[in-house]
Amino acid sequence: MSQGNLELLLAGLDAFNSGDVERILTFVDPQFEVSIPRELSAEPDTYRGHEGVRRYFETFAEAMTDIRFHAERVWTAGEDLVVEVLLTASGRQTGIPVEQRVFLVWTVRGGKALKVQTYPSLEPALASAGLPHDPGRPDYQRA
Amino acid sequence: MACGTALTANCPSCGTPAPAGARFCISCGTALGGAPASAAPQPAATSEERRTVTVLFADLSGYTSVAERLDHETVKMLIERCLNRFAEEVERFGGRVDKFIGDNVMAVFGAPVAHEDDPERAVRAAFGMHAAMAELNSDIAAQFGFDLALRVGVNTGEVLAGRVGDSYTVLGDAVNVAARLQSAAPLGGTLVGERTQRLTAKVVSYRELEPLELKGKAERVSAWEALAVGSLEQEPAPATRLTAPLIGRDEELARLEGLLERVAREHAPHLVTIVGQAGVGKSRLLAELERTLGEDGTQSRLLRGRCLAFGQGVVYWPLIEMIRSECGIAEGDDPATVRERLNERLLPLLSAHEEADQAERRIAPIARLLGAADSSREPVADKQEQQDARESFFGAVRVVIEALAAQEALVLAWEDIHWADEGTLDLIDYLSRWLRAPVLQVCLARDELLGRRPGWSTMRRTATVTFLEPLAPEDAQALIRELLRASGAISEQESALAERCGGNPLFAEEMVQRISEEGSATTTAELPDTVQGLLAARLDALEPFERQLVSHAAILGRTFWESALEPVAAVAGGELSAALASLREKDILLPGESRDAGGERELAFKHVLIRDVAYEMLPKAVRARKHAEVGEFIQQRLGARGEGTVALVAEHYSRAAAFAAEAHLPAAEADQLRGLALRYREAAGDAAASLYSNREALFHYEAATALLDGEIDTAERIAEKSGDVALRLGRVDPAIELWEGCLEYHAERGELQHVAELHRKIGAALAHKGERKSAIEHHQQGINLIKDEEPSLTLVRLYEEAAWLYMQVGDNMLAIYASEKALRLAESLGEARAASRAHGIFGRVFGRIGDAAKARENLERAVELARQSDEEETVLALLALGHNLEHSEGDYAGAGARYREALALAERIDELPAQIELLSALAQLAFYRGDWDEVRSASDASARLAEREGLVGKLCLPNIMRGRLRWREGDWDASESLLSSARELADRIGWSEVTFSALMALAATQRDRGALDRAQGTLGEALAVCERAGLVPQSVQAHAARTLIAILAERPAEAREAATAAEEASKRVHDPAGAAAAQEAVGMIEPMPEALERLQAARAEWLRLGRPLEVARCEMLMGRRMRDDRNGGAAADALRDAASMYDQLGVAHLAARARELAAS
Repeated sequence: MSQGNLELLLAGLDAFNSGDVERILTFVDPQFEVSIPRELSAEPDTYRGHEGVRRYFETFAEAMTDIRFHAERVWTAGEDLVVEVLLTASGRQTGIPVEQRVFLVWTVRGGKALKVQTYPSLEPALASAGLPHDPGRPDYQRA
Repeated sequence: MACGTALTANCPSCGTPAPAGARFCISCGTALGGAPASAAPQPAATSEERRTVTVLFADLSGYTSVAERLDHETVKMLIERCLNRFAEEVERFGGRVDKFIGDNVMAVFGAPVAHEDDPERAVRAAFGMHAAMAELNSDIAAQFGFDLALRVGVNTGEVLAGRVGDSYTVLGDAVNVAARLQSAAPLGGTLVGERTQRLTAKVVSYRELEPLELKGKAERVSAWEALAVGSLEQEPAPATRLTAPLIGRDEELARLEGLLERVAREHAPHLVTIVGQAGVGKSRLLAELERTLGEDGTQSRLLRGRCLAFGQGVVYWPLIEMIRSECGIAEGDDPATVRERLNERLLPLLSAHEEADQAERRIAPIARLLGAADSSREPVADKQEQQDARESFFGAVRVVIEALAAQEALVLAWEDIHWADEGTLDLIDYLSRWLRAPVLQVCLARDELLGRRPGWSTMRRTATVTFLEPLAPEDAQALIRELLRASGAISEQESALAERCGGNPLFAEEMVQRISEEGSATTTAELPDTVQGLLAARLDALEPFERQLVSHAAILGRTFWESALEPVAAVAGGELSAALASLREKDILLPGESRDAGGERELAFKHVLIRDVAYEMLPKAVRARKHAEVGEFIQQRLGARGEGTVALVAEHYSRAAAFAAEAHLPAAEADQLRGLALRYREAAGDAAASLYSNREALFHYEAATALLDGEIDTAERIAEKSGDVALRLGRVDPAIELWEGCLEYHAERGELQHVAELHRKIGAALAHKGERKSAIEHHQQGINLIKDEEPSLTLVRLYEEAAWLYMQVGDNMLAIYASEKALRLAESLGEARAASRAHGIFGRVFGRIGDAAKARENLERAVELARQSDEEETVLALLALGHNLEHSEGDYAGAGARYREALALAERIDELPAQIELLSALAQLAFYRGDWDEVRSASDASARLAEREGLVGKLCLPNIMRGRLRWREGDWDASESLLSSARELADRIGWSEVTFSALMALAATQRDRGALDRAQGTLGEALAVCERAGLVPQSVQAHAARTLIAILAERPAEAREAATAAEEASKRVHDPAGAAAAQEAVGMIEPMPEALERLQAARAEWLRLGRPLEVARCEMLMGRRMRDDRNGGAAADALRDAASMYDQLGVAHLAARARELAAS
């Protein structure tokens, strides 16, 4: 387990919540890749590199505002992190508040996020990171 | 048998009737044996025609073996004599010698002029030829010492008639078969084909032969040998005929009865002529008059005489029939017997008024008419005496009739006088003027009579003309029904048959007969030969220019504009207005019902069958070109005036193309017509689709597809549009299949926008089917293909439809995300439809989270935008608004109004999935107010549509209502089964709100049958759905229902927890029904008297909402609480009130439960 990776994750999510893409990019490897599955997006896609990150956030921000990624629980698995995230946002025109629970597997390399895989439930995320079905107490839990 | 016997003829010089077999005129002595009385029909200078004709081949056999012994000139003279004699027989029966081929005669009956009974004429001519051969043989045998023999073949069928080289002839298989039948005929015999046999079976007796192997025919041919032909005066054999009941002729019958009554009362004659087209019921009316004779106590009887359809030279035939009938004279009686019978019957009658000698003089000309003249009384025939002879004859007939009518009123029925010889018409006219006796002359005639005698029966008090019109539509339908019943035939096309028969009872009878014989349930298209023959004869009787106009008009259809005939008139140089007036006079055409924009009046064929026959007579090549001409004419004249016009043009070009192919027109011409047909078919489909005439649109697209010949782009375009209308019609699988084909085609060409649009369509269709996951995948694929391209309408729709799908499963994040995207793009493109959808989604989401005001604001905006967009969109927006009014505001009246408006629109545009949903929504509202009949009819209608169109997923909606109906009846198993099925279907669609409704209804059934644990489990599932889909208002209902079950199960802690949850949840949303349910739940657990206050408040709210079932439930709960509180009297009152309410609502099991509680 790497405490550094956990800190990186939390700092990274904090950057995400700032909406400042340039700040976000400081946490992201140029070879970064994030996949969003069908169950979690109207535009399931794989975004690659810094340009991909920019595109992802721009696209999201076109429709939603007050986008927040809340790390609820985190389990570490070597260089990987399994993160339960509560994503909250509001419709940009309607202001309707909505939320979505997602499960991410972060792969960190050289102090930067290299890859993020996204799942609609915990089990496949744990399996992807090589953790057992019952991973035990999380390494981080939101207060 | 009276086959082929020469008939009575009138003298060509003086017109005096000639007895049968007479060779010289009885008045003037002119030779009668020469030329036939009627001239052979001459070919009209018309172009080619398709005709149904009867072809006769006669072959002279037996002379070749002796020819070598005779001189060539002798052989020629002999053959010529025979053939000329045979030709006389052909012409005597209205046929036409087509050609002589050596010793062979080919004759045609039905071209160039048709008669309604051409097959019968041909067979009679065959018998006449055999009789002539016998006559000729007596001379030949005496002169040359040998006999000749004749073989005849007769066959009926379709041919092409027209000029080949310099001569008019007919071509077709029917001709070949007739020739082959002749070859196979025995010496002295006649063989006929199947159609001839069928059409003459009434008057000719046949022996059926083994089917023949004929040269040039792949299959054996049915054949009959003609054995004998019935007498001309023989009544048609009724054996296999249907008998039409008299329907719709009460007025006409009453008029005839009135005239007869007046004739008898005033002792004065009257002539009534009933005029009407063939088959309209003239004879039937006469038969009915005959049947009723004497019913009123007056003495009267009827004498009948029919004019013959052929052999116009046959004179006074109906009079001969009357006298024979009156005097008991048989056709074959010898002259002496005839005279004896005449004297026996007539002398006593006449002698009562005049001297015996005078009476005998009266009878003499009548005897001559019957071929039984007394030679001692032969008249001298100078010019003056010829006139005297005629007057003397008429006078004698008059006196005889007056004598017959001396004792009782007499009806003289003259049938078919349009065929009568001039002498007969004069005689009838003479009698009507000079009779001094109670005689009602009833003449039956077709319209042609008025052409021959325009002033017939006019301007006289003692003569009237009655026009017998076709039956009114309702009478025609009643007649068809009766005929079908009588024949035991079944046809689902009663009204179609009635329409096709055009109010003509004979046609009705013939068509039903055909259905009966062929055992077909649906035969309305094919015209019986009998009807065809009648109508072809009418057409052939027209003037050539009139006939040309009718042929062209037949191409135009049953109705047409006068100006459409102008090009024909211009080419023919005819006077159009006069010809059309004449055609109206002749009852071929009549003014139509409408005028066009320029005030031009529409014209119509009076009978559609006339149009059909005229049409069928045109050769296919002519039809092809004429249809093309008409298509071009309409296109130029009317231009683009909407669907009707373009569809009409398409129809003409399509027919042109089809006939061009069938007639093997030159390839370039045929291909040009096909191209035009394809273009206009597609345009007609587009026009129909734009008007939501979906079935018509699909028909046009399918027709266009059938016209394709390698035009790939066009094929794909039409396939896609076919899919569009197929989906509107609820034909989901065919639509998807069509679009998948198109998707592949456009993907190969890298056309991203088009491919994305097809993904959208397929996704929408899958959503209709309830395959939500696959539907979303298609939308996602579409979005990903074009999300980085320029904003487009397709992208807007992909987002908004995806949003709709996400919202249905309660994925609010993606629903809001996608609808925000859609709204943003829609606004940038000014796209009202997508903006409407987006507002609809927002409204629903606001409704879900309990913000009723914002929900309504967005949904009303959605309706407003939809109205600017299209009707399909308006249906959806109204549905969403109604849903919100129902669930978020408890405004059931307002919701009902929106649903009904949407339903009317959905029905108008054939939007089936929406109809299913709306009918179920109306059933739900009816359930709230306890209107079970409405629940049943609306849910049944909804289910029928869903089942019919294969929209299985949508069955979840009506099944919930059906489950509730079974609940009301206490049929628990059926109710659970239906509700479980509804839940399963709703799950499959991913329609969380419907899943919730099904579970709630299921829990109620389980509760009331006493399965409280199962009910509680079901409500747990309902709450899980609420949790997953964010259905907060629904969760209030579920918690309230849990409270009641816990109370019934006597689990107070659980009841308290559930009631608290209900109240908490109700605070989060604005939902009147939820608020009432929460009050009710709390009322179940609160201590008294607060409990009663809560329950009364809930009761008042349910009452305000208009939900009597819930009012009764509150009443029952109050009773329970008071009973538990030992307030027995008030408890019993409340429970009895509840029982009474349930009684009124027709929920017997709950009424019984309330009574049980009241009694306990």
